[in-house]
Amino acid sequence: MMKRQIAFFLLACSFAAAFLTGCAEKEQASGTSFHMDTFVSLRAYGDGARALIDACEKRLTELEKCLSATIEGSDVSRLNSANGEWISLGDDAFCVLKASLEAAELTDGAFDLTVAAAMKAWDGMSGETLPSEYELEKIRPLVDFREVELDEERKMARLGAGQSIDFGAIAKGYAADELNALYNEYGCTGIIDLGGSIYAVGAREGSEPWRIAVQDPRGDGYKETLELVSCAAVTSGDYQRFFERDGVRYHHIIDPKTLCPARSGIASVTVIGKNSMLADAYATAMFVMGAEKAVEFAEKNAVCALIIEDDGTEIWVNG
Amino acid sequence: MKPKALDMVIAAAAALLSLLCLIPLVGRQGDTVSVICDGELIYSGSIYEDITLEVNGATVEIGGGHAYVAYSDCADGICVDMGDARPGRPVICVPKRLVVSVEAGDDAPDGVTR
Repeated sequence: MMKRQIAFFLLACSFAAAFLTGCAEKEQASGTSFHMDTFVSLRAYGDGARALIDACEKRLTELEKCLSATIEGSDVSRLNSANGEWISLGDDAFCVLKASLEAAELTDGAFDLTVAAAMKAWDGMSGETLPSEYELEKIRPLVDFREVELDEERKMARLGAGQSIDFGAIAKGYAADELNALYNEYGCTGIIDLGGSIYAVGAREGSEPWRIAVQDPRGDGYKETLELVSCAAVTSGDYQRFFERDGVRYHHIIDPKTLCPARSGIASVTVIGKNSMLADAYATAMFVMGAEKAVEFAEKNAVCALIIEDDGTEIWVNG
Repeated sequence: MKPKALDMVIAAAAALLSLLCLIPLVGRQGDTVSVICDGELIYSGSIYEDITLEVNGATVEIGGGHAYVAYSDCADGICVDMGDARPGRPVICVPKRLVVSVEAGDDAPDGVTR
C-alpha cells in the first residue's frame, strides 16, 4: 500500500509540475489584418498582450484613415486635391510629411514623395499602361519635393500646383514605429510585420535576439538571418510588385529622375535601425541610388544596410 | 519486491500526463497550411496532402511540401509571383484578402523582411 501511495504522490507531483510549467509561459496573443494595402501580422508576449493587439489594430485603422492617398477625406487626399492651397494636417500626416521632405533632402531626391505623379502615369504598375516619353516629360515638373511647403507653426502644408504625394514608401515604417511605442507602453515584446517591414520588439525569451530572415530577391529562400533586439528591418526590392512586357521587368520603385522603374543594378536593400520610418525611406532611396552611391550614403549617415545586387552579390554597410 | 502490474500502469500514466501537459512547449514542425479569405478560415491541413482549392477567383495548390497560389484573377498577380508560402512568409493576395500561411516550426525565422 505504501508503494502505491508513493506512486500516486509522484503522479500528482508530475502533473502539477507540468501544469505549472505551462502556466509559467508568458501571455501571448496574435492578430492579422489588412491595412495600408498590405497584410499585417502582429505577435505579442507579455501581460496585456491581447489588449495590446486590439490597441494596435485600432491605431492602424486611425493611421490608414489619415495617411492613405486613396481614402476620401484623408489628410493626403485633401492635400492632393487642394490644387496648391494650404491645408491643415493632423499630427501623424504632418510628422510623416516633414520626415519625407527631410529624407528627400538628405538623399538628394532619390527618395521623393512627389513621384506619385509618375506612379499615376504607370497606372500604379498594373501593367495596363506603358507611359510614353512625351507623357513622362509632361509630368516631370510635377516631381520635385522642393515645391512642397510646410508651415510648422500652423501644422499646414501645400503642394506645388498639379503635384500629388503618396506616403507608400514611408507610411508602413511610421506605422511600425507607432506600434512599437504601443508595445513598449504595454510592456510587451514581439514581432510587428507590416507586409514585410519588420519591427522586432524587445528580445525573445531568455534575452535571445529575434531571428529575422532576409528574403532572397531572386529565389524562394533567404539570403541572411539577422539577429535583432528592439530593432526594425525594412526592405525595398524589385521582386514583389512588377509586371513584364516583351521580356522587360517593370517594378514599382520609380526613380524620381527618370520617372521610370529604377535600373540601378540592385535587387534589394534592407535597412536596419531603431527608426523604422527612416529605414523605410532610406531603403527606397538606396535602391534608386545604385550600390556605389548607396554605400557612400550609408557610410556618411551611419546607416546599417544590406545591399543585394542583381547578380546576388551582398554588400554590408555598418553591419 | 517485484512491481505489480498496477504499479506499472500508474507510472506510465504519470509519465504520459506529464508529457501531454508539455505539448504546448514543444515546437511543431511547420507542416500545417492554413488558407484564410477575408478573415474566414477556408482550409487547414497538412502541407503534404494534395489538394486544390478554388477560393474567390484564386486557385491554391497544396501538396508535396508546397503551398502556393497557382492562379488568381486579381489585377496584379503578385500572389502568384510570390511562389511557395513559407513559415514567417505567407503568400498574400491583398485584393482578395487571401492568406496562405505555413505554421512555423522550431527552426523557422521569427519574421521575414521582404
